[in-house]
Amino acid sequence: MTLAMTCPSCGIYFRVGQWDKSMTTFGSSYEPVLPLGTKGKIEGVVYEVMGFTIKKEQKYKYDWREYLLFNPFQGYAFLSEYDGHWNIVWPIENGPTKRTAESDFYEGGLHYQLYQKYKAKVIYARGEFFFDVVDLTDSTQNSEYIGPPYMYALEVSDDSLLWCKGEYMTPQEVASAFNVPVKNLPGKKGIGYTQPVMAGVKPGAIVGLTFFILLVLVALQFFFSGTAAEKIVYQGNFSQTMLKDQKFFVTPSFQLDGGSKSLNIDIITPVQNDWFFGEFSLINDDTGTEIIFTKDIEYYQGYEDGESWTEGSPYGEAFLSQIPGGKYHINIYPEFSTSSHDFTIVVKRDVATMSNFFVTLVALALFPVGFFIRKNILEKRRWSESDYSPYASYED
Amino acid sequence: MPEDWSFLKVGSVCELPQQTFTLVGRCRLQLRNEYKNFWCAEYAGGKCLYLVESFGSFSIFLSPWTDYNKEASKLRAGKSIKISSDVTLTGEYVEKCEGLSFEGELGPWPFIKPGFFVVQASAGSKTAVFFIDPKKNIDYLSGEKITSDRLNFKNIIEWNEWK
Repeated sequence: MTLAMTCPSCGIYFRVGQWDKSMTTFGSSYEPVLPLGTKGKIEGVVYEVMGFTIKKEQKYKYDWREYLLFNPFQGYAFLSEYDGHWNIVWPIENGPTKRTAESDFYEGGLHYQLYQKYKAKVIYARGEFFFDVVDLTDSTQNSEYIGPPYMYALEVSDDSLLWCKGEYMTPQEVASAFNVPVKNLPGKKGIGYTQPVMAGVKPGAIVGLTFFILLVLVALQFFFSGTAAEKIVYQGNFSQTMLKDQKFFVTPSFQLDGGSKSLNIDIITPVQNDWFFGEFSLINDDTGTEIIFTKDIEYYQGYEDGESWTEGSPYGEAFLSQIPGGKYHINIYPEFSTSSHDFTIVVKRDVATMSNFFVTLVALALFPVGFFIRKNILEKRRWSESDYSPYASYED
Repeated sequence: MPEDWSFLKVGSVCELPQQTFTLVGRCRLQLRNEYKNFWCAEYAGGKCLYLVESFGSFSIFLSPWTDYNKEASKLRAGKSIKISSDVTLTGEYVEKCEGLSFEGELGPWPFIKPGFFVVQASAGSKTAVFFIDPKKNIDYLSGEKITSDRLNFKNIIEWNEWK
């Protein structure tokens, strides 16, 4: 079964096939972090580390490490490491069944996108190999498709076509599988190309949950709107002529029933290209508690360049939430312009408001929006080393 | 036959729901970058089939050896290979057989010297293995890929150090 092996003393790579007995020497020696002969359990299968190679990509000249793992019942697998990120990769009998495009495909409900195409060379090998890893690597064109945490790899040469499937492993998982201290493994740099980002939260679940909460919010809003009494507890007209020596109006007392409920005050003025300002003080007759609010009403209209325009409104509205029941009156301190002399107020008890709904909606949107922005940033970073980045057109 | 890491041996049994097979012999092909164990399995009181094993993957071939009448040049990795009106496979590898070893009893076996080429082609679970000797006809077996757990092996080499 073994077709190539290295000498433990001199490090020479020997081919031991029937016709090819050639040798290869490597310039330098490297120490694998998973020693040859170490056994480790991955997904319930015990593998032994049979071989170790360092491969160099031929275009961008980066290198990575690959461990050949073997189990007599399952065959072989590869454990590759680049910048401290690990992938376990198995040869598979059949490639992706729904691969119709060169650039991407769906398999098992996941979207796989072409991440890289490369040719590589073995710059170092140690151990025992069931194939001539040096020549095979040299003659193979590789394409890798990612759907984190999974990947598919296609190795094509003149004589073979092999599909492999891989899955991301954390350094902790590798250390635990092979019973080596995690500090012995290379430190992680950047984002691994199959590393799941924000893996604990699935985008579909976020969208689903957001829609669910939105539906609940809409239902609650309908409920509160439908059950709001909107009872008019006071309505009064006021004119500047009613003011004599005093500077303010005092409304008659009105009763607010029930516990703490909302109060809405509509202010209606007949202003035309004019303004009205009022300071309002809602006072509890029994306790003297005072709630002060102001309203500035402006309304302008005109005709300019063949088009009519308006600005502002002759109506104003003040919404006071959680006003306890009791007897109240309102002191109104108005400021009239030269042409505006009248106004009306309408006080309504238990009025539904949309503001709470919209505030909650904005708060609700913060998490999914933040999630997708962060995920987008991380995905861009993942694809920054790929020639096939789906973000490339936006970045250029 | 030199030792290998196979967990099967002559005498191993695979129990399928409809049929039980007993391995009675094997031919091992050492290819350029792989090996293939062609296990001859006896069933139903004297019939035989080939069970091909390599690094934990299995294919079962019930068909007899068949002549492939088309050109050998069509048998290439990545190419479409039509073996019947309704079965078209894709070439997976072309490997030269560097070594051949025999053990036990075998059914019909057309090649006794290494040097020929082996081509495997598949589509889904359907698969075929072609043997190409430039001086002879091209023969092939057609069958199905199957997982080892479905074959339900008994009387195997336990390899306890991997458990």
